[in-house]
Amino acid sequence: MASYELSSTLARFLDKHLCFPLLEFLQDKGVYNEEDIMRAKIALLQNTNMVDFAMDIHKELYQTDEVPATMMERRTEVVNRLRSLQKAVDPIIGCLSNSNVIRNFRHDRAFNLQFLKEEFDIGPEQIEALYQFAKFQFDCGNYSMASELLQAYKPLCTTSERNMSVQWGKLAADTLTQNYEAATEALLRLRESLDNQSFATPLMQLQQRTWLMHWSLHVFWNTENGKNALIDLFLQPAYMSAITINAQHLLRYLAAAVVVNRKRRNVLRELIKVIQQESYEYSDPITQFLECLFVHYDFDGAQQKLIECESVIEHDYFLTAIKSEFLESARLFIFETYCRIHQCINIDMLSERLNMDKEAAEKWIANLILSARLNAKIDSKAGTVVMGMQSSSMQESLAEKAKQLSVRTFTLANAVVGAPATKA
Amino acid sequence: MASRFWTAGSDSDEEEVDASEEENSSSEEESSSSSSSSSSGSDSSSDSDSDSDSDSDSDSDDSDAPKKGAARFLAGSDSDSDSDEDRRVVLKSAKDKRFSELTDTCDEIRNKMKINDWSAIQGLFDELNKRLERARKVSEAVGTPRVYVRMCVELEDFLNDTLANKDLKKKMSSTNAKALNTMRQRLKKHNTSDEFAEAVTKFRENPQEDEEEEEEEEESSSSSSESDTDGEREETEKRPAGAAKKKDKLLTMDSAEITYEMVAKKLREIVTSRGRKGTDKQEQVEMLQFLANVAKGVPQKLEVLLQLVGSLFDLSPGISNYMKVGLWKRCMLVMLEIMDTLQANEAIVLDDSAEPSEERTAEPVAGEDGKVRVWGNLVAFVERLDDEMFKSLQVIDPHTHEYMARLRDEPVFLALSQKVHDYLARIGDVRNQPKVALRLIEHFYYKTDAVYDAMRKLTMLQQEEAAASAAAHPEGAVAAASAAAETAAAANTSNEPGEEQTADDKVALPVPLDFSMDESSTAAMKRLVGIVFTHGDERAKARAMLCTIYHKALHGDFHSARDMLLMSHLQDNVMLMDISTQILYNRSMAQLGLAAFRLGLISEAHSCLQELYGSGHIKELLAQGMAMGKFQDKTPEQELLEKRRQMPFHMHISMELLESSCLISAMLLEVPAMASSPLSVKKRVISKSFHRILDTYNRQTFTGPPETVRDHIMAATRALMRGDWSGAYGAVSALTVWQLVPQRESVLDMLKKQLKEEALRTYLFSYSAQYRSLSLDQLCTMFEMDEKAVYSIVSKMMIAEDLHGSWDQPTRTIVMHSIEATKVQSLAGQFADKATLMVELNERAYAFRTGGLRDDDDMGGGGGGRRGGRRGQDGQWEDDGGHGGRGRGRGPRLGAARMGLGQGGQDFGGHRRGGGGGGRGDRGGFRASGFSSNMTSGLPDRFQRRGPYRQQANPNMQALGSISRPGGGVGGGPGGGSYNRPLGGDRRDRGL
Repeated sequence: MASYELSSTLARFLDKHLCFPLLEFLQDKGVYNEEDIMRAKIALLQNTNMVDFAMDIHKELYQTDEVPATMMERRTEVVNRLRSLQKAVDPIIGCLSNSNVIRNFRHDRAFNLQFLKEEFDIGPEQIEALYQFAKFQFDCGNYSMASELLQAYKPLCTTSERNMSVQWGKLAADTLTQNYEAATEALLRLRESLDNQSFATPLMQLQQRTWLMHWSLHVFWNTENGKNALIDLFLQPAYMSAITINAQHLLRYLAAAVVVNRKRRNVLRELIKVIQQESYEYSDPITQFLECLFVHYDFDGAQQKLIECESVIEHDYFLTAIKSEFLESARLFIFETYCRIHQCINIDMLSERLNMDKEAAEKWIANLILSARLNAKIDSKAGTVVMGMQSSSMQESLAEKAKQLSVRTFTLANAVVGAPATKA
Repeated sequence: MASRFWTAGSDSDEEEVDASEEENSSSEEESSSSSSSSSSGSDSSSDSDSDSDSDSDSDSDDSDAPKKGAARFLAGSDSDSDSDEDRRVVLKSAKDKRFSELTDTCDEIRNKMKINDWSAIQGLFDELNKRLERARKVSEAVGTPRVYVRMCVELEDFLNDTLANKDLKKKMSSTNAKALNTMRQRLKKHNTSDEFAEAVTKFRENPQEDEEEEEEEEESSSSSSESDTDGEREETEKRPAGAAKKKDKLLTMDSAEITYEMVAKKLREIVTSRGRKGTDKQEQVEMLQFLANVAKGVPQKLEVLLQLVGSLFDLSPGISNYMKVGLWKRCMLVMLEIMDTLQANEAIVLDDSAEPSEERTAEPVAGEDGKVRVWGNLVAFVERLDDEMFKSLQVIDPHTHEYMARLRDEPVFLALSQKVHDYLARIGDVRNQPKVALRLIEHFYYKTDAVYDAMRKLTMLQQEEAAASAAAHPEGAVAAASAAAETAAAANTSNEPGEEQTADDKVALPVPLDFSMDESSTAAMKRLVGIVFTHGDERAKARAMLCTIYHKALHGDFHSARDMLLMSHLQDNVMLMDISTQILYNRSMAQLGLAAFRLGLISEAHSCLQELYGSGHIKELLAQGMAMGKFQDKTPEQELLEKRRQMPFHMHISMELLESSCLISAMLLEVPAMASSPLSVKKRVISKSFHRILDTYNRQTFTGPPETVRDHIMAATRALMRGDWSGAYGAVSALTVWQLVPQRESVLDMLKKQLKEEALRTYLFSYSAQYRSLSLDQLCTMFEMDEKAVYSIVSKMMIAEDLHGSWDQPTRTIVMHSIEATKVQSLAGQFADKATLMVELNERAYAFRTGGLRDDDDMGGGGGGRRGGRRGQDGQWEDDGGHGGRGRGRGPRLGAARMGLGQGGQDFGGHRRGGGGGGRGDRGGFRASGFSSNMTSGLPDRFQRRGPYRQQANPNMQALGSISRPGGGVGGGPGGGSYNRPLGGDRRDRGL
């Protein structure tokens, strides 16, 4: 089971803070030894400023009230730093909290800086301190504050390098405050700036795209239209090649999103191709399911994989919410494909395939027929479903071709003759 | 013979001269009459010997050479001792300059004489005359300077020699010959004129006096230029003569008496004379060998040994011939000795940037860093040795024992390279280290595990033997080895070439005991390739990469080999590389194809091999033999070059195996395709060469039982077209090449499976129209496949609408519902297809004209989609063909092979692992660390820093990334537009 558990892989591409929900989830599920997870948590927190939290976990883990000296030291250090930063940013925060000031900001960053300098005597040091403070707050787990601070800092940052950092920080902070709307927006912006980045080396771009995709998992799986956005993002050629090069395991999420999202059947072919191509690098029950179904047409195998999928999804932080949805869609997938190549199916067999009893299966099929998603008839005497035939005759296809030809010729002729006419 | 002289020479010089003269005269009697007078008159002199010697040089045949050399030594010894001891420095500064000018010009003329450059001599002679005029003015002396007269005499003699030598004259270029004639006339006039005639005759009568005076003059010229002019002057004669004399002295001396200075001087002498005409290379080697034994101090010994290696290389003729095996072995021995010395004395550093053998009289002291620097370039020697071995393997007939014996020398070479490599690593020479590593890689990459193990065993066996012999001779293995070398050396001096041969072969070449090969070739490759990737230059990296690809493919790791190939962008760059790298690329490609074939990845195998095989020049592409084309007219130079590129036999990839793999792949792809669309307009040809062969085969009126690979596969094709898989399998499995495949069983099984599947598909394509329904069970028994497989294949065909039918689940049958088209209908269909094609062309033409503006506005999406869709189906082939074709047009034919490793209809650009090679490296780096330990270190603290991630990347892979060209600009950009781009553009478009 644990072999399909992706947390460790994902963690490499996530921010420390973004990993934390994953660890919590794992702790709940009890896949790993609880102590190990606690230790991992402490290790995770060690480099953040959430010292108290780390101490709590430590106490819980070792069942003591004593806390190692290093943690205490770290604590004082953090507190000191907090104080000094606080002092440094007080003027600028005071100034920025005045809405009149914000209103006077323009798109021109240099102007903003100038403006602050002249009006409030706020120099680059304070602005830098603001950024540091935001980072510090983020590290303390004070995400909403960090988000606000970053928002305030944004019109003031001058280098594009720093701008990227701010965007990443904003995305993380919004994600962690579960403000997914803002996060989606931040994601979109970040993606834009990634694509427009001209100074980054290909290697850096690759790395950042990979990060973006991982971070976006948090957002996409928690928003309404997220699956669509996920499919859109992941199937972008640049991101797709990032997946094939750097993070094949993301195929799982892409596959799940495609399965769940009925409207996006059209991308299935592309997805299958990638899955097949990467199968030697990465495969898990979800991709195997698709492979069984659409490459080998092995329905029994697909059935088997679907059962495996269930437990995999259950233990996946991102997917666990869509479990039933996924299973339902997957079942429909199997059935649809099955119907496409059969003209007559035994309902008994079908119910077995679909993991339903006969009655339910019949009802299910009847519903499908009713909703006009299946061109078939139930032969209840023989206990079979008979598919409607829709093979086109030769004449029809010829007529179709001819029609198409005439349309195209017409456009072409129009283009040739019409061109001077429009000019004149 | 030579040794006799050594001892004799030391006793009395005078006697020796006589003896030598006697011997010499025997050869000189045949020489031209003009010089005989001078040789007879040279009782007490030596330098007039220049005449006689140049005679004997050209006249005496080769077998006389050693004899003559020895004689020459002794003759010369006399004068040299004179000049050494009797010299007084007389300064005559006024005339100095003029005279030195004169002597310089003379020297230059002598140089030109050596290379027979008469046109240059002519010019220089004019100059000489001018200078003479000036010299006369300055010195106001009467008569002519002796230097000048001597030059005239020498020139005359040389001219006569040259004229007498018909062969030489024939070989001369026309300008040179013309200059020769002019010189002849001019010299005749010149030397017989009143002014000089007297001087010349006088000189001829008494060259000795002349010599001495000249000696003085030269001494006086300037003390700093002394060594130069001295060396130059002595170039033809005196150097070896001097050497002989010194040697005499040295050889007889007690080794304790020999000082550092003496050895150093001697060494310098040899170094300066190296490469000159008339130096006896054999003698030099002897001398150096001796010097090595008496050298004072380790650094000096190293100097001598290094020089010895160089001199040994000099013994082998030209670049077109290979070094004799015995000589090679001697070189190896010396090299091993050097390495042992270096190993034992860590303070000594060999450095080719150090001052080469400057004037030193005492042992060099350690530098400030406690290191003694000695000039030398081990890497060059190793590379030369490798090249020589390669060359010898090219030439030796691979079916003889000689070839096997030669191959047995490989472990020693590997040991040496490894030692040099380790040494370079120790001194931190990262510039040269990759060079040696690459050499080693190129010895490893083509070895299968079996071969590698055999090599390893051989190494150990040889080491054991060496250890045993070392035990027998208490003085140790190295001493034994050098003793062996000495015997060989002694044998070498004898005249009979046959004897030399046997002696050479007897040289035992023990593998050093401290050498051990890596457990597996993979480990060895990994280690070495890492070094090349971190420090090597572009070419080395590319080669190492290709070797790794080859090696991985050889070991069946097709996927990672393919990924490496695609990531490194070698396909794009290989056209720009040197031919040998292109050959290596082709070899890797062939091996990759074979690997894919073994794994049953038929279409991949086909696309790898197709280009190579389809070109019809596969032998040339792989450098495994010369094409015997009728229509080729190669110049001899081209042929020679090509010959030099050939791979030795043991590195060959079996042609037959390649051919059968390629043709079988083509068959498996082509037969169902042909069956599916017998009448289709857009018939796409997967493999042209396959079609060609099939056509000729079909045209035959009578087909006998299959003999060649082609026959077998054509027979199989016929069977397969009928859906008769067992017949096809019978024909294919009868091929003998399968014995060459290590995993014979599995490959045959794979083939059987593939044949069954394709036979089923072909059968369904061809005969489905004849059925109304087909039972699954029947199909299973017909093709001996299990239900699931048949079901899967048939379903796939249904989905793809290749088969118009559907399953009837309760009865387990396929029900066909294809309506058979009437003749008119199918013709109409074809007509419609053609019309569509025409419209498409029109559209394209229009788009081309107008830049596609309006077209795109109106229906760009549709058109793009269509085009894109088509590419989706057969993009791979179009893509492939286009690029291959361009490749052929562009560069030399070698290296034309390209491949499209797409899967199914995958279009290339999309899945090539563009630009981010390094990204993979990152992944590798990350992967290495485990879960819990990695939690903190590996977490991207994106917020603050971004640098560290790149540092974490595996250095090898990062270097790998830097080989790769950044994958096409910055980012693919927001998609959409890419459809309308030409195919080539599309490939490059999707970087990251």
